[in-house]
Amino acid sequence: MSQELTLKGIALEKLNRILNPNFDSKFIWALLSGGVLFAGYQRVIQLCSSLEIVSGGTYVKLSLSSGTDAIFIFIGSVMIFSSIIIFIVRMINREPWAVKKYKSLQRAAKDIRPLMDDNRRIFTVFGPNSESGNVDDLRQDYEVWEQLKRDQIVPNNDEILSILNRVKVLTQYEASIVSKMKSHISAFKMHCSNPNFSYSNNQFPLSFADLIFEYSKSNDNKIEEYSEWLKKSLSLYADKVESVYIFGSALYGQEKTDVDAIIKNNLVSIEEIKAFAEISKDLKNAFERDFSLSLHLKVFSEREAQSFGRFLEKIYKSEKVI
Amino acid sequence: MGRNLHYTIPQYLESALNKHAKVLSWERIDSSESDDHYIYLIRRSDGLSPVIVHLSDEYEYSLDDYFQKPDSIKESAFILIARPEAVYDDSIVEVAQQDQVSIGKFGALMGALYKEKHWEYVPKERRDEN
Repeated sequence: MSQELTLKGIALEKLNRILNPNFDSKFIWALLSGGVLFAGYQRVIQLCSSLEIVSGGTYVKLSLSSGTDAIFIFIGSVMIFSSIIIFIVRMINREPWAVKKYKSLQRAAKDIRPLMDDNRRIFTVFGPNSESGNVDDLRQDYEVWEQLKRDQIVPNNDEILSILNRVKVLTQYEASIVSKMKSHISAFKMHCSNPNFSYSNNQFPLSFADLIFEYSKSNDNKIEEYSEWLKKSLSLYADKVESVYIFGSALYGQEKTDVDAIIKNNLVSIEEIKAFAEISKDLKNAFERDFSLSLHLKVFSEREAQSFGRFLEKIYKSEKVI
Repeated sequence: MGRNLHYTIPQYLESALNKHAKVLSWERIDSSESDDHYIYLIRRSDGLSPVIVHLSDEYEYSLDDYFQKPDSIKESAFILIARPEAVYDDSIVEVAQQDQVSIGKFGALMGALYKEKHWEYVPKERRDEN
């Protein structure tokens, strides 16, 4: 659609561009500058217009003074005072999310990541496609899920959308993924207000999760340290331990309370499995002592080989240690 | 293992226990200070013996978890796989039954509360039709 260019239109557009961005800041600065000018200009004029003549024993001083000086100082002071008050009020009322801008998606990722983690946790625990095989379980699942998606996921999504809208520059690759995420957020919200509306065509884009996880990855993760520790601690049981994996927040250097790990052993005898449970218990205690973090350890025996495969499939990403 | 369960899960269980035909009363018997678990004592009517129920927060309950269960979970206790999407391996059922301990999801607990020897009860989630 073309817009008709008129002189008035151009002038208004120019005026809009000048006034709209940070209008309040410009107003405060104008008020402050005006106040300083009013209060100080008499002093400047007096300084510039004073004339002193010294000739022999004669001393002549000429200067201008005005009775309106006190009025100007009063007006100037009121303007300075007002600008300070407005500035303070603005700082108090300012909502941080409303002004924070992000130069790139990479910079926004650290703020998006906790919101996505929260959504993922809720979805994993309460989301649809649960494996409940009982009507009562499904009802419980459904009720909690319905409540949580309205009360937590939608507000989290709104915040993600707000952050995405404040990213100044997106690469071409990022733009297409972000667009998919925005479509998902809108469709999911619509589905929450109208359950008959299906968002199957706009499901959560895994590529967006990949991107955010990659960007929010901490360079100083301790995976190597944990891996070495696990290898060393389990070296005595090399004949029993088949494989060891680390997964979850530790992969991104964001483990706050625990580190997730899986051990698959080759044991079949119940007595041996029971004995290995003591080993895993000791391992957890030793890890907590050495790293001040819990080791959330999942141990599978050969009897549970199928469960192990299923569990590994569910995990988004893992790092093989042994 | 711990208390990593959404707050609505214990609430939902408590509300179901209040309505259950065989439940006389129930109480939390875990210590909020020293215990890191949800453990309930359920007293039943019609001469049925009380049942201690442990709510597991594991996504995938394994034999390793079973052998590290809290000390109070012994003969005639019930291990509730409390997360709606959580699963457990059939191999645990066999081991638990030998110890006279039941394991199952919410529906399994509701059904087991009708039985004195609840560890012998086969809930719908483990029946062949599934």
